[in-house]
Amino acid sequence: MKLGKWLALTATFVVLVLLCLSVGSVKVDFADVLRALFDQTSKHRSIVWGLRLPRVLMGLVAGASLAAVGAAFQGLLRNPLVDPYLLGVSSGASFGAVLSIYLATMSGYRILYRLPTFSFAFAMVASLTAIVLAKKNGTVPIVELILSGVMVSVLFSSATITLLMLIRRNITHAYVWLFGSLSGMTWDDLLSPFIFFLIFFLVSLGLSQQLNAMAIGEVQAKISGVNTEFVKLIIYSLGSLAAASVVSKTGVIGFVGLITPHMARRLFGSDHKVLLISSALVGAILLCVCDAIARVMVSPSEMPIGVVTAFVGVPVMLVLLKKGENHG
Amino acid sequence: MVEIILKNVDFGYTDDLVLKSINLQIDKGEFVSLIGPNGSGKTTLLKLVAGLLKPTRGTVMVRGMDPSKARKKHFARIVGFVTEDLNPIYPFRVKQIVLTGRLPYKSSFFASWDELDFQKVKEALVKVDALGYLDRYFNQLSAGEKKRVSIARILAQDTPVLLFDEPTAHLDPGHAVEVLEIMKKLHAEGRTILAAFHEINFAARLSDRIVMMKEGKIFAEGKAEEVLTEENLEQVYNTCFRIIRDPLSGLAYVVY
Repeated sequence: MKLGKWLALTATFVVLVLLCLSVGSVKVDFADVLRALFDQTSKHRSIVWGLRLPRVLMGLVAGASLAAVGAAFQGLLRNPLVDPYLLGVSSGASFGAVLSIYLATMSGYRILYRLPTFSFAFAMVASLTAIVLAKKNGTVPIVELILSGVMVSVLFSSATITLLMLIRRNITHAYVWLFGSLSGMTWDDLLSPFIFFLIFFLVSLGLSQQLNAMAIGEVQAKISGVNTEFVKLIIYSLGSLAAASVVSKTGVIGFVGLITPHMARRLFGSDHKVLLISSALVGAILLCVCDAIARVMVSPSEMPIGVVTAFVGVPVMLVLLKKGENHG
Repeated sequence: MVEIILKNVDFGYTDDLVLKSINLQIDKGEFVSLIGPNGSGKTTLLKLVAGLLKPTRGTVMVRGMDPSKARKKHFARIVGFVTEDLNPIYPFRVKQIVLTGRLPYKSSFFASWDELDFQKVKEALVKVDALGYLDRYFNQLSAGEKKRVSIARILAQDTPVLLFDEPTAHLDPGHAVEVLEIMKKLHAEGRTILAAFHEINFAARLSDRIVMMKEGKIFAEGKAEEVLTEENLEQVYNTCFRIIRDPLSGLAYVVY
């Protein structure tokens, strides 16, 4: 039963990746996709290898990363409404991005290329601020952390809006970024999100039993000898790094990090050793498919990916809510 | 041999002290019950011994270790604490919950369960007569079943010192007696037990010694018959009590 579910998930994964590579403003059929992947002289090589593959891979990495971070945060904080942007990563990143656009317009577009650096830096500033503000006698209490995350988010969002008012022109670029998009991803863009995802994924898998204990109860985890403050600090910081590295490249992609862990929990259970893997897989598939839909729905123009993830994710989640196993 | 010592312990979350100059010594293998009204400091005292709180003044020692400073995993092999409630918000199976009690014996990174862990989990569940729940979801169990599973989680932790906070709260008489029987068994195995009770007769039946608390201080301490007098009880709980002897068993009961 379980094995069947996993095989189905893996098979879906492979088929959908091929499908995502094949659809777009230029349709490339499956056979040509495969040929383009392995044959450098194929006529579709530049589209499939140069444009679509980095984009599809970024969708996979971003989806996996946001979903895994969401799963770990939800477990750690015992809160089903938590997402990877909890500590202000998205609003910090947005502020950094808009700031770099602002500076670019001021300086005659010379530093626009630094947008990812700016947004990454401010995402980290925001999340570190949230952790430091929540810290109390050497511990980071859950309620304080959620509140300080909200405060930091509101502050940076307001600063972003202020900047947008100041820019007045060239605002389209900022809006495209704020709604998230996988368009124009290159092989170089993939590196940092992939590395930070890998680090987070391995470390959180290593701490999966501790995460289980924390999800059962923070006090219970302490009683069983878990160094809860250490686990929290590691997961918060590595998770925020992973989310920030994604957001700085793709813009703010909402919803995936919030809802995917719930889908994975309903399909494969709450044990974090399994949940982290299943969340990453489901998140990767979801984002990849949503991006393909975003590309073809209003082709040759594109839908913001956050809108598509909501259109696809909400019905899927509703079906799972109704039909999933009732765990009480 | 002394297992737990509290020496001149004060504790307060703010400047108001919840516990005031507590002195208490518990020997290895002893069963000590804490009784007293709500807010008298029973749970706080247990949390100090479990290392979940640090005393404002004074010292707490368990087997010569300061609970708040001891190596966490090492300390978790000595002291287990059955808290009043256990409510995971996501659906976990009983097996997964009891397994977390094995964490003190595992490496802190990539902990994985082996045969011994599964065996200890099964033994713990057998001891509380809950082996049948192994694969069930915790959230679907009744209050009495949940309580037995939360005891099993701590038994899997296999500690010589056990702390209980209101182990019979929210349980009907039948299930409450089941939990008491489990505690009796654990005491008979030679474990040191410190338990907070609301039900005075339960405390009287099980313990070697009773510590009666009032407003953060130890009001009286000693054997049940010495401590549980109508006068003491009325002073501590502010209501009328009578001690009645059961003509069949000859045991004394507190009624109110």
